[in-house]
Parts: sequence; structure tokens; C-alpha cells
Amino acid sequence: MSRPGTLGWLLRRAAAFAVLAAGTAAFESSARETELDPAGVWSCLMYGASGNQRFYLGLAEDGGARMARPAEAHDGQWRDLGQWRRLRDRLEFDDVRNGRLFTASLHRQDLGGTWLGVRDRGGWWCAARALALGDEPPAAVGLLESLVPAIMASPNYPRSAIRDAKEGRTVSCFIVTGAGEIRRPAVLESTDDVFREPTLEAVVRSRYRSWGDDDATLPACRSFTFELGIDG
Amino acid sequence: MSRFLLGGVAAMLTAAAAWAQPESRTVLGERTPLLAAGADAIRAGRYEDGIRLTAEGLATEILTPQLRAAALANLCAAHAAKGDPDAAIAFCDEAVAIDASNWRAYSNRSYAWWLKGMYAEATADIDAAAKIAPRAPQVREIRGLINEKTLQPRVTMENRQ
Repeated sequence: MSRPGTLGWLLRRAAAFAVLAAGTAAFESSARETELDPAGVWSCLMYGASGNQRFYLGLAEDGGARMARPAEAHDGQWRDLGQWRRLRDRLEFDDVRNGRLFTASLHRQDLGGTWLGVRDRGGWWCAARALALGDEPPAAVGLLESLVPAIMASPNYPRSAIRDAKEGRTVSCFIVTGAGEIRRPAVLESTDDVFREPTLEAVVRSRYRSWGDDDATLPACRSFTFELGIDG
Repeated sequence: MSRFLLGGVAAMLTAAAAWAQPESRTVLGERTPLLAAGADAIRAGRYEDGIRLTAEGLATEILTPQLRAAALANLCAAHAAKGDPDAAIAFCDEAVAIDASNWRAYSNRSYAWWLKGMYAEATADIDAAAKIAPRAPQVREIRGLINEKTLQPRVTMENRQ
């Protein structure tokens, strides 16, 4: 029996987690028939209870995986993650140093999914960089760009959810273009399917301030908490 | 909503029939033709006819306490459907006093309270109905109406980047 926090323990937890992730992926708005090719350099966002973190992810054709957070990118260093694995229509890799297992469905248009740690969990989402995996990660400045919301559309609380007194939470992730437009939103987490559609509708009605050139893209996510209070 | 409640009226008579004559609903209809005709009229949206026939049945037909309570609950539903919640509540009160297990009387009275905007009372009655018939569609429907009036939705958003 593996001890909590070890890679074996993580992998076993991941098996159960993957079933959940696979089931969730079936409903993704951006789900598609063809599989995503994960090889390349990605500009990613990781979120969780402890906060958000941008990083570069390099996935080599031969299965090698590397990560560079802003400080590492600033130093021109990749951190080796070992091998990434393709399991049917899923990709996964480990960040052993931080005790996290990352999984992603390859049936989406963008790379991303969920991560599972020893004590917490969260999601991650990536925008493709048109770069081959090199010895050095892209410039750290690419991870420091701040996205400023221009329009944050609020979802309509579904009437059926009010009638059934349902509360819940969703997370949608998407790509933000240099012009601030939102592309390919997907619902990464949802406590109840009733909240999916209003979440996506709100996201597509939102936008960010222009922050870069036409070819630039950044991943971003937005969480929504649907709550009901007692009147009076 | 009225039509939905009236759907409940028909089911109510079915249930009442089951209490009175488990072996045959037809026999019950023969023994209480006015109540049966009244329920049919209410179900068809002819409330005045339904109220008149049901009142006549209550006055002239031989009824078990359960069937009397069911007929009173029908009158309650008909008055609520007409938009007269005060009259409806009086009949439901009488129904509940005779048969405290008649969940339709509670749910009909809940709807009448809802019409009056008295949501605390509506909630108490729908809670009582739900204890007896937790899976009844009418109970869920009226609970939904109350929730729409009493629950304040709020959505908070957090950007992740």
C-alpha cells in the first residue's frame, strides 16, 4: 500500500479521478471527434484553492515533459517532469516535486484538464505557442501579462435551479486573444449540468481589454458560484 | 398552474375512490355520482359547475370521512383555481380538520397561501404535504413556485489568470 503523497498513491487516486474527468469531458462544449496533438510548447494557467499560477509546458514527441514557471523561465530553465503519458483519449503527467498529477482530455480543442494533489485539486488550461520544444523556455514576460476584464457578463440563474433550490459552482476556461476576445470556452468543472449553459452564455458575452497583437493568446478561467439567499 | 392543480383533482378522486371502494372505482362513481361529476367539471375548468356539484354531493351523498375530506379539498382546489384563495383556504381547513393525512388539502392550501403572497404559510403547508407525499409532482411544483418568490439568486464570479 503506497503512502499518501507518493507517486503510486497519486496514480491510484488518479484512476478514480480520471473516471470523473472522462465523464465530465463528454459534456464539454468544445469536445470534438479528432484528438488533440499535445506535443509542443504551451502557455498554461493552473488554478486551485491556493491560487493561480502561469507556467510554460513543453511536451516532446518522445514523451518528455517539462515545465517552467515565471522564475524558471526568467532563468531560461526548464524543469524536467519526466514522461507524459497518453492513456486512450487522455494525457497525463506528474509534477513529482509538488505532488501533483495532471490529466487532460485530448478531445478538446485546447489542452487542459484537472490536477490532483495530495491535499487539494484544481484545473489547468493552456494556449498553444507556435514553438518547437527547445532547450530554453519562451521568455518569462509571456507569463506575466495581466488580463483586464472589459465586460464580465453575469450568468442568468436558471429558473429551474431556483425552483429546485439548487446551488452550485462551475469553472469555465478559455483562450483570450490579443484583442481581448474569448475563444473556445469550455466548462471544466460543474457541480450540476443545469449551470453549464448559463456559464457558457456568460463567458461568450464577456471580453477582456486588448493586451497584445493579433496572434497572441493566453489561457484564462473564470469560476462561478451560484447561491440562493432567503428573501427578507 | 391552475390546470396543474386540477390534474391533481382528478388524481384526488382516484385516491378517494381507492379509500371508499378499493375493488371498483365504478361502484364509487355510482355511489357518489355528484362528487364524481363535480371532480370532472373542475378538471374540465368548469369551476362553478364543479363547485355546485361537489357541494350537492357533500350535502346528499353518504361519505366516509376520507371522502368528505377529499371533496372539500376539491372545493379548495376549485376556488384556488378561480383565484379566490380565501374561500379555498376555508375548505382546505375543513378538509385537514377531518383528515389530517390528506396531503392534497395541504398542497392546495399551500397554493392558496401562495396566491395571497403569504409564503411562510405556504411553506409550512407544502412541508406538511411533503411529509405525507414527498414524491408527489404537485408538491414539487408548488414548492418551486414558493422558491421562485422567496429565494434570491446570486452569482459571484472570480477570474483565474
